Amino acid sequence: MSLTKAMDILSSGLHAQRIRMNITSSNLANAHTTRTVDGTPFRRKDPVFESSQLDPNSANFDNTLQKVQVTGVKDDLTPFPEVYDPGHPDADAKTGMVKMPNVNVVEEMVNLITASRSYEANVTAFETLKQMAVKAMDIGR
Amino acid sequence: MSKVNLDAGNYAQMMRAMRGTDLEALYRKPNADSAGAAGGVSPLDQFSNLIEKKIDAVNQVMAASDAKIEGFVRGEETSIHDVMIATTKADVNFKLMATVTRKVIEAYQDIMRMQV
Repeated sequence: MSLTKAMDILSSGLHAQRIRMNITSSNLANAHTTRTVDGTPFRRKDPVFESSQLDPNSANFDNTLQKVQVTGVKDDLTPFPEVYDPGHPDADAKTGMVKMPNVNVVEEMVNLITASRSYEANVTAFETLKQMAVKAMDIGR
Repeated sequence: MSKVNLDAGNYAQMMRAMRGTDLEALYRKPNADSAGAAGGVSPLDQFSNLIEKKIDAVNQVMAASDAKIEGFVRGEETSIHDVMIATTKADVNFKLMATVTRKVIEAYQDIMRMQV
């Protein structure tokens, strides 16, 4: 039962939300990218969060504490939406359809807000922990 | 060197160590048992060693936080929350050490005020 453990867990949460923010920013910036390095339109990406045990050898039920880790970034496999635009440089020669990235801007904004609120929640928990520690020192005052 | 653990339980333990056992040993007559049990170290040395170790541990935490701040200013450390967490840990550790030191000095002064 140590404050350091809780601080490490919250720190991992902050780090994971930061990574999610980065990936969401990448999705938003590339919402209209019809050509990537391999020729296909931009495919939106999602972070994969996984919980890992903080310290399996600790006593006092601290071996149930889990911290969060981003173990990978996976592609979203929904099909690309097609738009009719014959004048577009990447349009298909015969049909005139352009494949746009499967990025839904509204969904990305929601992810952005979620990441931001989650980050704030972790920071608030951290503040509370710090206040508890300082209050504990008032016992002997 | 062990880090200072921050929580109310450990604070109480540290207080007991400083007010209770070790101070009593300080004013007890040093006899063969206590000196021999500690490997020849007198209770006075035990006490000052304890203080030294704890202050060293706090110093290490503060040095680590300084290194993180330096790294952030230089651009090596990119996550600002890491820097803030290290600063907070150093801050709380230091406050705990200051509180405990003040308590120890108060206890010493209490004893010195006793009439002979």
